[in-house]
Amino acid sequence: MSREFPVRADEDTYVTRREFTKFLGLTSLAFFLGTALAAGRRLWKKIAANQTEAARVAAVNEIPVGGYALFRYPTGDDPCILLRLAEARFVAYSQECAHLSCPVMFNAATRQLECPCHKGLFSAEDGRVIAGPPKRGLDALRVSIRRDEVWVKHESES
Amino acid sequence: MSPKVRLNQRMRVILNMVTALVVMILLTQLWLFSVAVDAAPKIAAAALLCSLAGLAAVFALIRFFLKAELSA
Repeated sequence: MSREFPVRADEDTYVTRREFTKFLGLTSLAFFLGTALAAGRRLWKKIAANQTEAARVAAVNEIPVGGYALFRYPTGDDPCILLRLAEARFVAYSQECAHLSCPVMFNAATRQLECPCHKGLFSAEDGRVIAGPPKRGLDALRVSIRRDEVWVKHESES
Repeated sequence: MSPKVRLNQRMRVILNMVTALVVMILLTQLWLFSVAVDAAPKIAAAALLCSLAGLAAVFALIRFFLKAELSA
């Protein structure tokens, strides 16, 4: 056994070309399945959200102008935030940052939603990205006022 | 150089070319995975389709290599 190549020939594991190409194919399959899982999770969430009914969040007078309310919609695992930007203007978004799902918080002074994890900034007006690593805006909910109560529902594509 | 050694070297060159192409596709698939994780549903679906195309290309390249090896 030489010092430059300290592996004995009989102890070396031999990989055939076929085994190597099989490994490449299986790696590609694994990447595809991972992508399918991630995309499937997002599509499933979207489909499930579109099928949920509107939910009451709070009474209009419970939230002052410039204030906010936290709630969960459509399930207990989906944190959302309702903002009152003006007397008659309410907006609601998913509280999960579009980057890595940290909860965003409302800054009334700057009228922005801030992610404390990686300093992502979103506009409170429409949820679009202003700064930071997120590639897309916050998921918006449709807000309606019924008998002095604020209701939310998922935005449908149509 | 014997014909067997020459053939072996040729197959090694082909395998290197196939490997280079497959590695490029694998890196693209890895990037598509990162896109699908935090993209909007429509973009995630597009990433999934592209990843499927990549998988098909990898299998086509492997098939091409194995066919070349068999015919050699």
